[in-house]
Amino acid sequence: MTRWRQVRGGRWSPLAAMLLLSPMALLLIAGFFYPLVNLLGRSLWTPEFSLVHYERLLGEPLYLLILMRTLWIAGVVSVFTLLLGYPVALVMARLGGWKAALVAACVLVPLWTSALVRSYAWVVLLQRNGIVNDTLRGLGLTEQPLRLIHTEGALLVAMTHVLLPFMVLPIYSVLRAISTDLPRAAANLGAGTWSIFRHVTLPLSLPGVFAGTLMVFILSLGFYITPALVGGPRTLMIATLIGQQMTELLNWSFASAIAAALLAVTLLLVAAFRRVLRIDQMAGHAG
Amino acid sequence: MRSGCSAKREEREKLMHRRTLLSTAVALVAALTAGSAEAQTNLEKAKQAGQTEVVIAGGAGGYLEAVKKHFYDPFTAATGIKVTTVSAPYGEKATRLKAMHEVGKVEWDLVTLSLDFLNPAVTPFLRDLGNCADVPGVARNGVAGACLRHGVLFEIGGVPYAFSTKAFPAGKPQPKTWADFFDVKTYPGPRSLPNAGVPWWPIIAALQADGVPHDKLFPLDLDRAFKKLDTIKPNVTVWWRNGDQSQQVVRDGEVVMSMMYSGRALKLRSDGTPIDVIWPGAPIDAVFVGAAKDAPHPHAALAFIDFLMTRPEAHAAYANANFYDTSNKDALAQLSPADQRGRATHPDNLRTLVAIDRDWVSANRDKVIERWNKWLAQ
Repeated sequence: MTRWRQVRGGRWSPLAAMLLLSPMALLLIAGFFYPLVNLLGRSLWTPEFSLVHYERLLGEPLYLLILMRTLWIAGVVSVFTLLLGYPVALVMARLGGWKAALVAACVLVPLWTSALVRSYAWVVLLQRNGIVNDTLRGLGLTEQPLRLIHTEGALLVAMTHVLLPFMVLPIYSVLRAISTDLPRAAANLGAGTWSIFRHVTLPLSLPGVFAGTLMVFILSLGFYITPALVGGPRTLMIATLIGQQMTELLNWSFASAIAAALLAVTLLLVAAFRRVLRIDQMAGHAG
Repeated sequence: MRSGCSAKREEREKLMHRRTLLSTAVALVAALTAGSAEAQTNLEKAKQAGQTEVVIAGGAGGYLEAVKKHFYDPFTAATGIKVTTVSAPYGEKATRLKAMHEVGKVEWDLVTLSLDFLNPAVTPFLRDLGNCADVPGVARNGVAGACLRHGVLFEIGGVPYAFSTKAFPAGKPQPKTWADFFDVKTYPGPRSLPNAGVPWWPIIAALQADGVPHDKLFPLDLDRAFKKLDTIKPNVTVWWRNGDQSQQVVRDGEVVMSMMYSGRALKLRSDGTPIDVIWPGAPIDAVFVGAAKDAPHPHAALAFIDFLMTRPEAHAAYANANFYDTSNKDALAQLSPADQRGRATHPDNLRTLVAIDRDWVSANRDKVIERWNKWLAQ
């Protein structure tokens, strides 16, 4: 019984671990790996093996342009959410009791509203006769309404807003897990507030930063609704093109090829990002 | 000699008479059998095959309520066949139909799609109705051209443009043509055009603004169209992705003119938004009902189409609620003259509308959409 459950000081036996993991693994195989293999197959066999869809992808500058633009938007949104989200997570981790709960609620409540509603809220705010333009004109700051909505700026603001919780929460959970002894020890050794943050808190929180950035970046890549509502023609993103091939042209093979290219580029970027941050070692230290 | 001759002739005549009788009888029997086969309606076939349900993939919201009230519920009341509805946008329906055929299990009997989906990517999944001989209701009650081979015409509208009568009130110059839509000097203000997977609509608008007559547009001169579109691009602040959005930007005064679905524009106007609708040069847009290939209840599906085409009063009531004409040939006459004038199938409007050359669009769809995306993303 003991051998069944636990061996070597609290670790699960391989059999038990396998049993525990199997439901998730089955779900992943059926719901993720099988469709993924199917998708890759579809982009390559039509029905004979052919690279024609990838040739089109590389031959037509539109697709590379939109892919680069999508990565750019996802990158900028990741940076914005990090800049806005890290201080919030830091404050949340330091606060206790009802104050922490209040901040947490402010971060979480938007998550319960659909992206559609949050995107429409930005339409209401930023449109020609919207709240922002009316206020600016009311204050006499502008005469003509500014073109705020359907621009890249509007899209970046709206996406940052929609995705902010996905940055705050992972950073917060890592910051909470840092033992309070560590900054205290640093203070005992004579480190100032900035020095403690720079040399203790920040490095230890990097796994959270990595997780948050990764999540925001990857979610941004697939954004579909917000660009349609608040973006303009210059913010056409790759998910829109994939959707167009899927549902308007029913060209599933080409849609699969675009999706596969997006996946490949994303994996490469994530691997590079990991390497730069040397996250494995960091995670080891933090643990 | 004479009598012998006449006897022979008599004999021959008798024989001939008998033959005529025989062939008449054969013809009669054949006609009767054929008659009985024809007399067995789709409804009887559905009943015989035990098809007590029909699954229709249509729209959602107010649209669904209207079709349910005027067509689905009366059909169930008249036939006892239950109507099960599925709601999804056109593109999603086409995608799901294709997916159902790939896995070999089609769950839908009927699907409503816009005419743009009547192309070679979709028709393999729709039953070929030929000249609709199996659905006699179409010929009996439908408008000319109601039979589309892979479906039956249901709603008819267009994609005109609406302009704000607040921005361009009566008594001052008001836009009347596509050239006016593109004339930002005389008619200043932001515009909206569709970016909804049908780039040939704004292309058709641009070509007419550039002087191409509405009946000489196809094959579309893309170079000329994009050159004209270049001139208006800075003034198009919203490229709408769906009908809701097109209504929202006009209602909120985000733009002073927008190309939009006629039903959406007429609905806005009847809700009190100060707009006028410019029909001349609007591309025709229509919705058809297709029967899914390998459907679970094929006879019930055809019985529904037969039923759908009947009852002009239901069509008129539905058209009044929904602001689109329908394919029942007697329905338009039931609308008030003022309402008729606003509809796509009113002869004065129909004459000026642009019929989409579906063969051209099917052959050039990919190319045009790719070029459109590229142009828009620049």
